Amino acid sequence: MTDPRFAEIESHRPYLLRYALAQLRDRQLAEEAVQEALVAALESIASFGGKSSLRTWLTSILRFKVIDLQRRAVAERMQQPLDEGADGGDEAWLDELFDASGHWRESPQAWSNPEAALEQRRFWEAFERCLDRVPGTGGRVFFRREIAGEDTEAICKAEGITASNCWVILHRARLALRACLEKSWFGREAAREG
Amino acid sequence: MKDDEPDCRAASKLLSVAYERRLSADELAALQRHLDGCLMCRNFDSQLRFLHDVSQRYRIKD
Repeated sequence: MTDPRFAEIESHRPYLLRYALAQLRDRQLAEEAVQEALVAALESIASFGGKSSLRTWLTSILRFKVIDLQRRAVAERMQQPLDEGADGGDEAWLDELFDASGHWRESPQAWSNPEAALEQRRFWEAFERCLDRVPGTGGRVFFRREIAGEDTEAICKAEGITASNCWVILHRARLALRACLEKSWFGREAAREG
Repeated sequence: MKDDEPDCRAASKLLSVAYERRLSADELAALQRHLDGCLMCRNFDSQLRFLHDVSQRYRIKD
């Protein structure tokens, strides 16, 4: 008889695909990783004791599949000179957001009733679009840290970067996500479109 | 602004880093002094909290 948890496992595929996409930035590789993770989960579902949520358990299986693929990418990156700008060592990108005296070029405005947005499906769609737009390493690290809730130290180790670089990358990702949501959901432009 | 008070650029970074490590007493005091006088960074602080909350909800939502 089919285990009723099979359908439940399958229902987590969209989240798992988003996790893998955020890490790998390659749909084909992400789908491959998710498929392998789901097969592995189905094969070992008897060992799932329910100590964590099913999503957490599935994500931990997927993480190993993703790590295998990332390890290869890190090894390739180690062969090349480190691009400090892309990995957060260079903070010159902040000049776009702050003037020479360190003040915001464009002041963050108070968001109107943000809690209400959580009840709207369109907000979550906008959030996903903004997540997709956080560039490169930032998108990958942000997803692992803030959404999957992984430990910063483990993320740094997997990415082959220092803790301080990791913090800068996360800061940059948060600024990018904030700016995207302000523009697409909370800002004046969104109000005009709405 | 006092010499040891961070500007908006440094304050925003401290607000973000606070999600990754415990800020020192000096960092916290300097940050608080800045926030007391800067509405823009208080807005940014609220928005970071919202992003953190949204990300956690996204993890568990169907």
